[in-house]
Amino acid sequence: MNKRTEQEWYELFANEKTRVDAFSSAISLYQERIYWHIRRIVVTHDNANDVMQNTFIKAWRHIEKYRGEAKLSTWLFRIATNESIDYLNEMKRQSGLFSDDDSLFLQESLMSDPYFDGDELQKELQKAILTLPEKQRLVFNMRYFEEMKYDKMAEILGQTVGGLKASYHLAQKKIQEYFKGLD
Amino acid sequence: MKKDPFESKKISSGMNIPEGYFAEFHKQMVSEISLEQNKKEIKKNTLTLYMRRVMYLAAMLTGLIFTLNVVSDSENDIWDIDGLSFVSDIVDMEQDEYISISVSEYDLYEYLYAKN
Repeated sequence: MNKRTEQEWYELFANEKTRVDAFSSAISLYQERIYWHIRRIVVTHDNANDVMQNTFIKAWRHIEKYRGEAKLSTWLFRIATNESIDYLNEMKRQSGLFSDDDSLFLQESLMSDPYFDGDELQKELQKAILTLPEKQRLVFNMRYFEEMKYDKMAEILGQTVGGLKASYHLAQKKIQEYFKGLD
Repeated sequence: MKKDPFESKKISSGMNIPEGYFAEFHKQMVSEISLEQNKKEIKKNTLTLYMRRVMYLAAMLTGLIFTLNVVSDSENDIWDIDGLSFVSDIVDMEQDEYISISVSEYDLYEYLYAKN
């Protein structure tokens, strides 16, 4: 199943008879990676579940736009990233938060999430990550937890590899400083 | 507390998910997309049916207009024999009647007498 080429995916999606089954296979194949990608951005399981649904429904509704030029996983990751950022912005807008407050808001959401049971170190690492600016946070999560290659990240985020490396380096430095400040 | 989180083993996120979440999510999504696909097909069929009806109606109207034109042309042929218009015949008849009514017998005799 995971050996399908982008052209094969495209042909399966283009045919009405095979479309539903092919999309079902794509969900099976990528749902776990997509979920963790989303979860690290929107923090809580409930939020991640909402964004997962939005992501796959959006992908399904725009399946004709998938031409097999980019990798299917890249296309899905791109939709998931945009949906997660839109979801966070909408949450912030509804709560009347400005960008300075969102790290505290996200920290509180994470700590009250029943599907987070991190120990002290994990809690502090998450808190440190949540103090980062949005772009650095995104890059750090993709590199540190998902172990994604820079060129794949560049395709998803539409940024240069050099810029992404710089963002990761900065993020790492800020997290180290955060931990130093704990003593 | 550890001073540098990057100096040794990677720290995991501490996030977890409900048991069987992915199987449930997959089931839910497949049912949702199947439903959307069915709706799309129904909509497409309804549109085809609607278009077919519009085309039938247009064909019927075209036929009706064509038939009416043919009948109206034939009617002109019946009433317009040898270049005489039916309407102009009626007008002529009315003029004759008018003359016969407005000129009395007395006036006629007087006219003939004066002429002689």
